Amino acid sequence: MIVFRLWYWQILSSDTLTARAEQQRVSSQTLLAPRGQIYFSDGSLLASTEPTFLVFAQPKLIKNKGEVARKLALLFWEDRRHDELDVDPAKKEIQVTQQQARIEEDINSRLQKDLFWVSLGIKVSMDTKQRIEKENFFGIGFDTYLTRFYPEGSTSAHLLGFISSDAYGSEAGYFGLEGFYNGELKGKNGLLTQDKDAQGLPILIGTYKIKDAKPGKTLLLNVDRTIQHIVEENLRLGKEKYGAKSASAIVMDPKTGNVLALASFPNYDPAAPADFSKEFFRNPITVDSYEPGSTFKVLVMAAGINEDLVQPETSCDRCGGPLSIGGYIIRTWNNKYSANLSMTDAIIHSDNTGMVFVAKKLGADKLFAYIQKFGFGELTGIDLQDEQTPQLRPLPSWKEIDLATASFGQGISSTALQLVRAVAAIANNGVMMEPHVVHTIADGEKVTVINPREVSRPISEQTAKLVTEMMVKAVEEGEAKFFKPKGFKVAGKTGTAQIPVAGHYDASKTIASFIGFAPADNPKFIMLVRYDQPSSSIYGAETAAPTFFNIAKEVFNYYGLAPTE
Amino acid sequence: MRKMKNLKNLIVNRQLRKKMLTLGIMAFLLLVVVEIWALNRLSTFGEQITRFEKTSNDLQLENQILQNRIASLSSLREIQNRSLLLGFRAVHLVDYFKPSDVASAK
Repeated sequence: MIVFRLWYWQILSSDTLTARAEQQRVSSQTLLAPRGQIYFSDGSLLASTEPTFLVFAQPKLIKNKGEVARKLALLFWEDRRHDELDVDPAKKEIQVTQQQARIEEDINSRLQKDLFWVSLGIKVSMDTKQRIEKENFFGIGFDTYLTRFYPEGSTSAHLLGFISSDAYGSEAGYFGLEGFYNGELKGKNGLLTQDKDAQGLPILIGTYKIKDAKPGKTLLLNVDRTIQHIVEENLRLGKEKYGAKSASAIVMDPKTGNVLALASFPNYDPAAPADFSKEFFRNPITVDSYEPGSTFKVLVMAAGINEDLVQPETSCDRCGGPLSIGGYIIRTWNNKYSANLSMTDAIIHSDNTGMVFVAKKLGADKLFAYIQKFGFGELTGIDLQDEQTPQLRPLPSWKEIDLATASFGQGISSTALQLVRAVAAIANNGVMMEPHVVHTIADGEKVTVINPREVSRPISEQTAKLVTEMMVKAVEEGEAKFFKPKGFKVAGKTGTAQIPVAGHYDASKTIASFIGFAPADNPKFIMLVRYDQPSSSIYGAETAAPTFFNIAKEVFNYYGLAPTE
Repeated sequence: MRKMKNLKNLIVNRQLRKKMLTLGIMAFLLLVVVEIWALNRLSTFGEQITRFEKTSNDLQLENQILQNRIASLSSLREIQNRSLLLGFRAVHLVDYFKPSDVASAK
């Protein structure tokens, strides 16, 4: 009988019993891989990881549930933010008592459940975890999680993107850098398999297999922390001051395409994306298409000069009054006309008739070709997730009126980033660069540097210099001349584009913008400031331009650029 | 004479084998004792190892939290807020000296 039993255990049931034994003693533990960190260009942290804890309970092991719930409620309450508390101490005390009672009730109801395991709280801080541990509760445990941490607060949301769960419940990056570089930033979790005794302690002479966690790669950005801060502060104030529906700005180094700052308002908190609706996540700089209006004129003028069809001093012989084209009347923004308007004056005074003159000399074929050369209708290739581009209307469908309106930036769509990249070609002696946010990707010792990439040369160096001078004069003599800092040579152009609503343009709703670069002779930055539907004034010269120059002044100080004039 | 010699050798060999066997058994018993002692020691190390691992893990987590705290306290927003509380104001107007403005250049 004994021999038979031994034969049964050792031979027949060997595999099953071995498996059951292993199941009892072998324990597997996931080793968390931290997500890669993101640094500003000066090496300061933009996004990091912070350990937080899930507090769980094993209700069947807890005897004094009411007491545990009461103590935990107090600790949980102290761990949370309390922005909504009343200033009045008496009311505040009542609020605190009510909130603590609610938490206690919630914990108590969970502890009363007939379950082996219940979650009591998530995203609990290390400090609170240690305080709970000191209470020596029996049946209370912790699971560690690594959550995203943003030392600069909720700024740079559209640049960063956010972290959330994917369809499989795993952590994934969405939008911005988190989305674009998700493959690099996410690490690979490791696994520790070892024998454990009945008390859950490791048996050192047993199985021990470890697969180390591989942390995510580190990103070093081109984004300058100080310029980003300057832009955010001024843009936020500007949006409030001018009563705009939204505001956005981008600063770029025209010589390299390095993005130095990028901000949009309203924005969202990347640490709590669930508190915001989906429309907040879209980056207006890279996604929203709009009619660029007069800021587009410098590109049409550059095309005309590059084709040697006009020169800065060429005078327009049909700009003495409104133009009638295809049944439509083209007027200037202030209904003032100049009989012998020079091309420089057309840019200075943002004269639509002067631009129609240039467009007619170019013709639809050449203008369309230049629009394509400047990169409109194609993605810029920026390393931010979800970049989009409006499609250009096919050339065969262009009518005479389309050629005319395109010359002053209406009837043609672009993203803010496409416009900045195109105008940056003027600042960079005619060479267009690919915009880039990330400078270096580091994976331990292995470092990959993303070098500046030249996209194309849409215009000659000579054309770029001539258009730059015209833009400098537009700043010095144009509508925004009062805001220009003294002694600095800034090239720029205002833009006030009406918004098409239900098939027609609403004169009261505009996108006010200003694009410019400085110092004009050797640009350190190019910047676009854009307000959507400002209510204090519809004009770019009275809204976007002041913000542009406020930011520019601070950037001059930051770079230590002295006035030259 | 030859038979006597063989008998003597046989006796010596038997004694040698006996000694070897005794030594072998003793070595085996020693190994068993050592193994029992080692197992006993190692089995109690599990608790210590767990404690060390927990301490190491907690220290790493705390280190990360402290690094984050340093980053938060040195963030521009924090510096700006504290500077304002201390009465500092942003410089908006900067005067630059040209070489001709400097006495030594004249």
